Amino acid sequence: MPTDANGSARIDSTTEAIANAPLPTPRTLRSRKSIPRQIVRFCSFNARMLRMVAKGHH
Amino acid sequence: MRIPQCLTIAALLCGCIANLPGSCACAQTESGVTQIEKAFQSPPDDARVMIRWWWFGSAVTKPELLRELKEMKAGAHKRLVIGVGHGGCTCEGAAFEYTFNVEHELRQAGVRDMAELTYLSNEYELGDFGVGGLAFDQQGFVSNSKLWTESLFRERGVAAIVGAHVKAVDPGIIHYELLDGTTGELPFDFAMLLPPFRGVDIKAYDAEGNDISEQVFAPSGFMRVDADYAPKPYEEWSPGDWPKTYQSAIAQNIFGIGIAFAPPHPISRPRTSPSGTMISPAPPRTGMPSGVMGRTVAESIARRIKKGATAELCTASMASMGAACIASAGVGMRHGSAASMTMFPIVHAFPNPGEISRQPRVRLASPATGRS
Repeated sequence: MPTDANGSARIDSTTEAIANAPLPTPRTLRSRKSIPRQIVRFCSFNARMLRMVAKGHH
Repeated sequence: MRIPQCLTIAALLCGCIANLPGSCACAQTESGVTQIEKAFQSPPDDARVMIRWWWFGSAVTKPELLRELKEMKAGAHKRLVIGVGHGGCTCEGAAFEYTFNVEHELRQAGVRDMAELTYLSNEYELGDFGVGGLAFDQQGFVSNSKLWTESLFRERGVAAIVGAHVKAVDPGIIHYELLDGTTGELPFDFAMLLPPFRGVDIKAYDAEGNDISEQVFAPSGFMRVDADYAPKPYEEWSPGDWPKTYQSAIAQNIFGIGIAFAPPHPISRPRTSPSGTMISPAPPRTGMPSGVMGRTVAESIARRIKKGATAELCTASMASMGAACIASAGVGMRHGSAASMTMFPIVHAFPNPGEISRQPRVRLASPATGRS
């Protein structure tokens, strides 16, 4: 736990924001673990990167 | 290989600069070309490709991490701090990735509950990544990288301190200043803070031997290229300020790409603490953008060699270039996890419109590591 110059514990807005941030639903967690789905997304992501590289210069 | 009369030199680097010692590549005499050719074949040590890192000695090495893991397994509680070591650092994405690398290792070792993991950054808010944050369309709603990053930090139990400038590091304790002017101390058992980047301190001389270093390099040591370096307030920044050809400001046969070129200004809104300390990320320009710039400059050099010194140069502005980032933790389809992100363009219209001016897509894939 960080402390301020007086040695007191610091709880700032970032800590509060993290504590209140949304968590993924069980369905989202399942989809993240789905290997077939991730393979499809892996291919999609690579295609997107290739497109970006091709368009990135003139 | 025949050396063209107008020798083209590319200084390209990611986190480092390769260049000639004490000589400006403007020299176009025959003897100068021969000298340059010889220097390239056998450069002195102080001109070789290098990366400047600032580590805490052994506190960030693998043996040290393994030692900490061993002590945690024996029941000790540990404090780990990962982030940036200066208010003007860049490459927050690297610190972000390393944070979750370490978090993964802690979990794999079965000691996650024994560790307090803190991300210490100069970003104004989580998800800034030195590019002013990202806005994207998520299931019909405009979302942003701040929310996405905070969610990940909550999910993985990582604390964060943002808007921080590390003032000093003593054994086992980090002293920092925040944007609101307050100061704090952060004890640690294991820490990794990224260093601020700067160019290699080399000198440039013209053919008459006059020192032209200030014209060739910015005070930060990075190379001045075809960018608009006129000082202007944030509200007047423009994507057009960013370089397109990466050609030196004073010599047609020098190029600076990647981390080697001096950016015209940051991408994130600049901020200072009440004491005047600049706490704002420098613009990231390593990784994929460096690759695109390198290819572009290589094509420009090829054109100049084939068609002559007046051939049109290729362009690749960061204001019209996309970037992809993959932050991975762990290895393998079942035990590793990764977050992937693409954004276009890297440099957005200023001021940050807070709308979908870029079209980043953020994806999180974490096989076998998600927790509810």
